[in-house]
Amino acid sequence: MFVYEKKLQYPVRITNTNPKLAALIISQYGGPDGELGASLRYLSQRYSMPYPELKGLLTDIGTEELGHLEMIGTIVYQLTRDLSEEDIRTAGFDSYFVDHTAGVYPTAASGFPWSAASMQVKGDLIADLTEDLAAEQKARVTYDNILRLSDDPDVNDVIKFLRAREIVHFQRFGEGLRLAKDRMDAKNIYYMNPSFDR
Amino acid sequence: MYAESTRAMRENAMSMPAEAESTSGAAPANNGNGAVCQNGHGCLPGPCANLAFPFIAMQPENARRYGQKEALREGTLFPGLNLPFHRELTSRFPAVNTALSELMALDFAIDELGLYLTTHRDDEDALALFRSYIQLAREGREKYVAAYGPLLQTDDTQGGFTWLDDPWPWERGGND
Repeated sequence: MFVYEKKLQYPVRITNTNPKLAALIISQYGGPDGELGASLRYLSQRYSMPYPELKGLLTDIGTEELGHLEMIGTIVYQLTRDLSEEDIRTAGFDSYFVDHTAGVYPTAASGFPWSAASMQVKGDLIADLTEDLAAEQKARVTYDNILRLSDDPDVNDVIKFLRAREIVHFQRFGEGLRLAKDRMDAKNIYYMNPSFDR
Repeated sequence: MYAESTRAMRENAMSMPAEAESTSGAAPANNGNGAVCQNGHGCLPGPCANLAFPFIAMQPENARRYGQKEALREGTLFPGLNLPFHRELTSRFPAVNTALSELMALDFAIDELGLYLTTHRDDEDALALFRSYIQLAREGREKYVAAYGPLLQTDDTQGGFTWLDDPWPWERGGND
């Protein structure tokens, strides 16, 4: 089960209201490469993982991603505090505001709501871990793009932390794949699916 | 069990002195194939590797580590995995050095070591460090809870059901 701890993994302290930036950052909350999809992908993939290191990795990283979801939600919330009449008419934020006011809703910046179609659980460790490697890279690029678009140092301080985590997770998923390979058929790693075939 | 990767890591570790809590003095490591691995590099299992399979180098044991505050600021415990983007600004954390940020730093080091141990379960030095950080965090947590209120709903605090007290982590003052 999960137990809530009443603190963030890394401090979020945003000084300035900036609804336009919030409407971009929301993509890491509910977009195709965001933290909600990351946590559900890993926490769902772990059931069909055959080896303890892989169960551990997906549990650890999936749990950490839930903490990142909370950090992104906090950034969006703090960027949209104290909105003025003028703020809610900001191009790019007005179309979000009309549906959600100043609530935090899992959607991509494009307006497409969070969809399980942006993730996969294939039930095959090579396919799933290879997807996870790609997922970490796609999230890393989204953070790169946020750093290109944002000039708010309070926001960027948090984004650079989250970006660094993607690289560490990529490394660990790669190591997980390496450890799994050592237990599979040495000549033909595609001989069988150890999650399914007996 | 996972002989190839573990053997390669051990060979690497033997020629790489431990430098916990330090960022200086990079020592090259021999990967067993005559090649030399610098910090931030690792070794493939041998001169031959499977086709049609992606390889990420195993992080060697005894890789250099940051102290916990620097680790939280950089987003990783390991200098070798710190690969920043050119547009990053210098982080200001922890400009405000609070009891909460100290606890965050300890908890982050624990998270990062726990994740490392998931793929390096035989690294006894890392396991010992993991345990010592857990002990430090346990003490820090008790002091924090006594001074500022519960982190878990079950934390024992005086003065009623203070779990509900503002600020929550996303609110103003929730990270000070």
